[in-house]
Amino acid sequence: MFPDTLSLWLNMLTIAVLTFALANGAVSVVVASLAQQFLTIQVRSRKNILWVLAILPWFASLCVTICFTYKYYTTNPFDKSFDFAHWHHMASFNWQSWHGITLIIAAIIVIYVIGSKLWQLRKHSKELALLTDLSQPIADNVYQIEAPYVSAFTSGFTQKRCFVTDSLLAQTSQQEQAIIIAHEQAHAKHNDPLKKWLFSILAAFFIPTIGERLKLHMTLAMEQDADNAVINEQRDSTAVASTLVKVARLNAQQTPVCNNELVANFGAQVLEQRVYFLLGQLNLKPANKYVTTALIIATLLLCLSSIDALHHFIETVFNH
Amino acid sequence: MKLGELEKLVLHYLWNQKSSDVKQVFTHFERIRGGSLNTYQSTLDRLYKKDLLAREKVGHAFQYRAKIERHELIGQLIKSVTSDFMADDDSSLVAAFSSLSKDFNAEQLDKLEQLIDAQRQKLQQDT
Repeated sequence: MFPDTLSLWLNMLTIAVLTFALANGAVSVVVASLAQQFLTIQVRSRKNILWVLAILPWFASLCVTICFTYKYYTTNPFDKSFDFAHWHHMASFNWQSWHGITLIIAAIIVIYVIGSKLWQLRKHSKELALLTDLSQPIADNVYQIEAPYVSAFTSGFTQKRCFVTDSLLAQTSQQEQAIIIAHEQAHAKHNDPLKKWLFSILAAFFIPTIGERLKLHMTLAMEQDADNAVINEQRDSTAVASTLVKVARLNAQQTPVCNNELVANFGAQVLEQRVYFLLGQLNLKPANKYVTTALIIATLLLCLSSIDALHHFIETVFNH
Repeated sequence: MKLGELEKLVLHYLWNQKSSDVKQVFTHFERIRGGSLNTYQSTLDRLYKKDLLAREKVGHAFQYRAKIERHELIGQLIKSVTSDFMADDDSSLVAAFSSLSKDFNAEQLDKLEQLIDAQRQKLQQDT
């Protein structure tokens, strides 16, 4: 047992972890059942919804923990508004109970995910610095890499750099090169490498299938947004689409080069959707704000109303 | 991993040579850009510590060689820098999103090209 204040904090963390697990499950069900519907939503709205879904478990944890703590400090017996936020031992915490085990497992997962992402970032930064050293600048923040591979990608958080291989430049026309570089510069302008990395951290807390699905949708949305930026520069959308197909064809002749949360690259990914999008064949609609708000509120209510019951249910099986 | 100017030059030199000891490196660069034997020794040491060079002792001196060819190094860097966002073994995900799959065959690409051509013609007719 611990002094009251420490016990209070540890109980709050347990509530946060339980809420996170519940909200995570709820979001996973939404993603698993409505993932195809996301494709009918406009790009910017879709990106926002994906961020909301990825952040929702953290937000729910925070809100529910605040409610439970408020209830603990509220002694007014006539205040029934927070009766559901009941945790019957806020002032005592025993490490040798399921609460302690839950906190330890949660801490291990958080440390592992954050640690592995930071290690990946460090390795990536070193490799990127070396790649920059072995490249030639050809325009502002655009580098040419001498390599027999067809590739174009953008990386870097503060100093964003676009890389294009000389093989890709050699096999494309000037118009196509301009499209590829404009696309990469759009990624740099949108801070996509940083956002992709942050999103991958949030997605890592979901079960792998759901996490990968969320990342795939975010990748598609980022690529479509970058394609949109190229069209907005008064470029012909069919030219952008045919460049995409050409790069995909060139990519197919080699090991595909794509897919890292620290980079954003041209071609290869989610091709069909991007081509249909560029040709205006997708009837994209803005996200329904009411449905989105209802989803957030429903998740919060589900967590708020279930934590006490879940607490008691677990304690019918495990040591209190 | 950041490479200094001299490190880059020495690495490029060793990519063009089979192997060299510090004296050969020094002799080559002394004419071009000066510097002392120690400068080149520490440059070779740094490249070795960065795992870009291999070395073996021949007599009293180390013979240095590039551990990896330039195009191989760049290929590895590109692959490493651009990999990992999606789990490659997660085929269930790709199957679930077949319309988003990155694995396109020539026939599917032909189909997309035809679609683009049709759209182009339609736009030309409209204008």
